[in-house]
Amino acid sequence: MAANPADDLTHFMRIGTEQADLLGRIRHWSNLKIAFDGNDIWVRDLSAEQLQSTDIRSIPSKKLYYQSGRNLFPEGSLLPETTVPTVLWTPIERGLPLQLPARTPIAAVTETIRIQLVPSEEEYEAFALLTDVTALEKYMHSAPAIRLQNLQWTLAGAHKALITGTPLLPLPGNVYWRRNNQLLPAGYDLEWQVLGDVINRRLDPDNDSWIVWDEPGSWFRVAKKDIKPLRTGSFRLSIETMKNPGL
Amino acid sequence: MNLPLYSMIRTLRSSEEVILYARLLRISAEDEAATLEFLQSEYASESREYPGEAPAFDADAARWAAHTLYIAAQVLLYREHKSADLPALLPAYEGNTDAAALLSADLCLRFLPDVLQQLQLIDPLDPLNNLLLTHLQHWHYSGLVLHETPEDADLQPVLHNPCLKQLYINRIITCRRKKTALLPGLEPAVRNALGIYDEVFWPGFNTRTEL
Repeated sequence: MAANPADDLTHFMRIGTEQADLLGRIRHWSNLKIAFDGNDIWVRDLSAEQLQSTDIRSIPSKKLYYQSGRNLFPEGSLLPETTVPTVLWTPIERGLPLQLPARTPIAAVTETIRIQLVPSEEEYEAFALLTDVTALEKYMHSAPAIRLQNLQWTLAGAHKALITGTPLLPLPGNVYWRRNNQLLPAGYDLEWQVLGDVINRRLDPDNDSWIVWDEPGSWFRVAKKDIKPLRTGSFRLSIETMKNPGL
Repeated sequence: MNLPLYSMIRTLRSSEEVILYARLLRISAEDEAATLEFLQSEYASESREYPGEAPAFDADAARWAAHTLYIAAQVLLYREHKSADLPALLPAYEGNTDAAALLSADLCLRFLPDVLQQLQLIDPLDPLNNLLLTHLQHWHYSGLVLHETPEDADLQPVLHNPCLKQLYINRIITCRRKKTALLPGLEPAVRNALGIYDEVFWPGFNTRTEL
């Protein structure tokens, strides 16, 4: 079977320098070589398939040639139009270096975003409860052991207790749901959910705390190592210590 | 100093193993005093975990329970007595079984069901079985570990002491004693403890089954 004679020919393409951007889409064809000649850009060694591809065909006002001897013939013509240009050929990847866009979209942004919470329609399982210590103390007075077994707690500030784990205790307070290390008020979500990970990294770089949000968008941090199982004994000791710091 | 009772109770409460340090049924006063002191401190530290106000320590009940457990373990291992002597070795408690007594005795009595289980493996027909079972039925808070509370048990001390009542309910739920849970005096409190999560904490609690 005779090989397609077109395969043996060396094909050239000439375009104007103003069209250089259009070469971006064929830059990955590593067989190509490129040369710059005044206002022209030359591309050589195009294969027959590459000539037929959309990427080439969609380049407007190009001129395609094939080489015979030292002459270049326009595709489909038997009359030579010019000779092979005496220019410096370089592989296309080197001839067309990548340029980072002058505008870098992220680093150059100087605007700041206000992180705030918005009401959310999504339903999430409750994970934590922020309640008054006094309410918890009252409950602990007659707490059934079974209700405490899955719960952990810590003091949050002077008057609040943060209880994590489910099922939650039947106490008044703020209920939170959880995304990663963030505890968000039930019924609310970050306005920019996509920033969740970024916020997590920013507010909790060591990944060892809970970040507790409230509706206006302020937050506080609770170290996870401070959270202890909720047991009557340890709770009593904490409360006693809190009431008599001198002990 | 040789304190077999004290040593046994101490080991039992720290590592939950019975080790008999002597083959003795008679207990010295010194031994008894050391044991009581130990049990009292154990009660103090344990009652920190109790809900509400824990009742005061009842030394008599605690002593009786320690004795009973000790003798039961001795008799289980070294049987030198006739069956007829057993009631004399393991007499019933003569004092009042109020909330304080039930809780103080439980420090030791909660291990009696394990002794009973060993005994049933060795000889299910041993009269000691029945004797220990009778004790556990009378001390029904400790008995919950093994069986439902008998119908004729006196629940008054439980119902009138909020601390013991809550502990009682905790144990009912832990040991899944459904029949006891549905006793009229206890059922509302059990339901209260489980709340709307009864199927989470006690799967099958609401399923009507033939008891």
